[in-house]
This record gives sequence, structure tokens and C-alpha cells, in this order.
Amino acid sequence: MQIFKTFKKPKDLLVVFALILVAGFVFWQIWSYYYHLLPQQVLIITKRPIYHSNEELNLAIKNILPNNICFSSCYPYYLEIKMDKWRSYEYYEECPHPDLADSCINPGFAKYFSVILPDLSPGLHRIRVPVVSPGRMGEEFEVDKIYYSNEFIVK
Amino acid sequence: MNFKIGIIVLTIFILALFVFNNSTTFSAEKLLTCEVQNTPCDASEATILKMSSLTNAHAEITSQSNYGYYVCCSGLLSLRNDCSDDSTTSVLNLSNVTNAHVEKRDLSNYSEEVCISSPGSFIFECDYDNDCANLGSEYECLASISGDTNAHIGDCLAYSTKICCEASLKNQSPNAKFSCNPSNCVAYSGSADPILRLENDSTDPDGIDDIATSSWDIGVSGHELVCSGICDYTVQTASLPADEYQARLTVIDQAGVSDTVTKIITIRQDVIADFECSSNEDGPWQNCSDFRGVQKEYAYFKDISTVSEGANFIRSRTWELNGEVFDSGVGVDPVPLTRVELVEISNTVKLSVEDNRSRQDTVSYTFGARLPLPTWQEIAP
Repeated sequence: MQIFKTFKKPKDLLVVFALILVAGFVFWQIWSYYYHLLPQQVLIITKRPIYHSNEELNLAIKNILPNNICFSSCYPYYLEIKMDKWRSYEYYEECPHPDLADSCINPGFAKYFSVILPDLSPGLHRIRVPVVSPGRMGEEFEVDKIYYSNEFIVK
Repeated sequence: MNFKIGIIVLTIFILALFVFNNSTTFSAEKLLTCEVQNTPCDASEATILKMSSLTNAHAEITSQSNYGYYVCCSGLLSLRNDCSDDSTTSVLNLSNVTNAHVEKRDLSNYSEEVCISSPGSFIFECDYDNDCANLGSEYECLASISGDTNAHIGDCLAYSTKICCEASLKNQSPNAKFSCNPSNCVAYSGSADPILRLENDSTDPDGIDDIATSSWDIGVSGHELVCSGICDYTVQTASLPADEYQARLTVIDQAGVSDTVTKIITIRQDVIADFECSSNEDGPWQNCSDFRGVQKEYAYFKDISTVSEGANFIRSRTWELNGEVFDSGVGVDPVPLTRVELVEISNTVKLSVEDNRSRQDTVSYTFGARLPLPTWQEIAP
């Protein structure tokens, strides 16, 4: 046990432990810093920048979060229009079934959706998407965070 | 040369026309004509007074027979010297019935009054001036006097103070009269069809221009009209409840004399189109002003129109959504329920009804449609 012979006193052992703890803390901080620099986002992108009422809109949603995300089975998205500020359209409020987590996307994956636009007022729009993360399919949906699509025009 | 003469003649003619036109337009009509003559007045004339000479004379009243000079006036029927007539005006005062000195009428030293009058439509004004024309072209000189009182009298050439009188038509009361258009004086509440117009047919014997103001009212605050001269009145049926009203017209002439006439006008209850809205066929029904539908779903409408006074049923209904007819019915009270799928975010539903008295009305409500539950379909990349 040559290595222990280098510690002539018990105090030396304590110093080494302290150094190891400090090094670990520094390493953790550096890792955490760079981890948070990584994109932690849900990207929601429409296929085109301009649409008309009652037209089909294609939507890509990519999960760049470390956890999976799930959407509401009743209100997976809301259409919003830019007035003096962003305002959501009024939706029919009676969902005929329980509001559950649905259409989940694993980290690093994407899904594509087709939306038939209703009759909308002309103007600048975006899509608001509430998500639960992490979520499990079939569990009651409780929104954790809200993400927005790019802005697009409805003529 | 002939051309120049022609131009001059034409210019003179035009100037003469201009002068003549002005003089006839602005001159008042002189009704009274008087003169002093040494023979008794004609039957068509009135003797106002008698005098002893053409100048420096004494006067006497007409019932005396001492003097041979007569002040005779004509121009009006029934002209006389009666001081008791309503229309009488004092000309001057005499110190006695004969052999009298004279004084101006507004003095009170002498008791024998000389008057000019005409029972009927005329009134007289008398005054004194050195030229009657100064008082107005309608004034006529009767005689002249040497002073204000204790004066001698003569014809109009004798002294500088002339006795000037004028006759004018007495003001006559205007006659208020109006008629309805439509002639039965009936209109419908809340409707401008037909427009009920009260037409002012008032007259005035002194001429229509003598009517200074016309005042209309129907006994309801806010439904009055006062105008200068003659004016018609449109009854504001849009804001009158169904009832009978007493329409009153008062006309006032320039002299402040008025006349009033009243007439009953009838405002009937008109057909009133209205409907209620619901998201379900069986209701609950609500006022459509507060209604919100859902896009791509049916909205239901129930006609709750009321028929006009005297009508029994609705005989036609037409429903429109955003300008396009989606339902209509004709007959005895067609089905009052209908529905339509809302396809736009903003919806205007219009109902047009006609009852069996051919009264028509429309009503429309604009309401928004909520978006249906948002759905999406997962597709391949």
C-alpha cells in the first residue's frame, strides 16, 4: 500500500478528499452550463407562410426537450390572431370526452399534423400548443408549458 | 343714322320699362279719393264735412245746411262719416255743429267730432302733414287747416297743414285647415311606410303671405313643429306607439290673429319581425343579440314576429344568412322554425315577414360563431 505511505498524516487524506469534491463541483457546474446552452425547445413550424380560411394547414412539431411531450386530446392547439395583442379565438367549450394526454413525441423526434382551418378573420396568426412534459399517453392532461408556432398570414 | 336713332329709342324704352316697373312694384294702392266741391256729393260719395268757403272758412257737420262747400270722398263702398262704426276714425274736431272753428283730432277743446268710416272690411288712418305724400302714397288730402286749434279750414291748397287720411283693408282672421296624406290619416307605429304627412291647406283672406307662423303638435312631447309661414308636418311614426292622436294646427297671421284646427290621426300597430336563436332544435331559446353559434354546426331560429293591427297570421317568411336565402315559406302561417349551418365566423341572419294585411317588416341579428373543437390529423412527413 505504497499510496497510503505517501499520506504521512491523516490530515493529508482529508485534503485529498476536499480537492476531489471541489473538482467534482467545478465539473458539474461546467456540464450544467453547457447543457443549458443546448436547444431545449419544441419547434412548431407551418409548411407555408400564407393560408386561406377553410384551407388545409400542415404542421411539423419537433421535440428538442430532454423529455417526451404530449398534447391535449380536447384542445391540442389554439389559433390566435394578432390584434392590438395576440388574442385566441373563442372555441366551443364542451369537449365530449375526457381531456387526456395524446399524440406524445419522444425527445429528438418530430410529428406532422394536418389541420383544416376554420373560417378565420384575415390577418396575422399563430398556433398556440399547450404540452405536458414529461407525459404519458392516456393520463389526464395538465399543461406544463405552452409553445407557439411561427407567425403566418390568413387572407 | 337710323341705326343710332333706333338704339336711342330702344334705350329709352328699356329705361321707361325699368322706371315703370319699379314704380308699380313699390307703390301702395290708394283706395280713398277726396275733393272739396261746391255741389253736393254724388250718391257714390260720402260727405265728410261742409265748409263755408275754399279758404279761411268755418265748418259745419253734414246734417247742417248753411254752407255750400262739401268735402266728398269716394273709392270705397259704404263710405260714410259715422263716428259710431267699428272702423271709424276721427278726422278733426269742430267747435260747434255749424259756424265752427276746427282743431286737430287729438286735441280736446271741441266736442263735435268729424269722422270717416266704412262698415265692413276697411280701417282708416288720419294724420296731418304739409304733404300727404310724406305719410305714404296711399294717403289722400281731405282739406287743410290754418292751425292746431281755433283754426279755419279750406281746401287742400288753402293751408300748409293738410288733413290726410288713408283706407286699408282690415286684417281678417286666417283659416286653419289641413289634410292628411294618405287621406285616411292612418299610419303604422315604428314604420315610415306610409309616411303620414299633414299638409297645411290654411288660407287667409288677406293673402297667404299674411300667415306668419304655423304650429303643429299631436299632444306628445317632442312631436311639435313651428315654422314661419306655411309648412307641412311629417308625423314621426317611427317613435310613436300605436294610438289615436289629436293633430292640431294653429296658424297666426301678421296681426297676431290665430286660428286652430284639429283632426284625429291613427297610428296602428305594425307587424314586427323578430326571432330567437338556439344551438338546439328544442331550445332553450335566447335573444339573438347575445347568441354565439359554433362554426360548422347548425344554429336554430324561431320566428316570434307579431302581426299588424287587424291581421291574423304571417303569410310569408324569408330567412337569409349573410345575404343568401336559406329558407322561405308562403301560406297561412308557414313553419316558424328553421336552421342553418354556420360557416363563417361572423353571421348575419335576416328574417323578412309579411302578414295577411300585406304589412312587411325585417329584422336582422349579427352574431359570432365560436370555433369548433380544434382537431388535427397526424400525417406522414
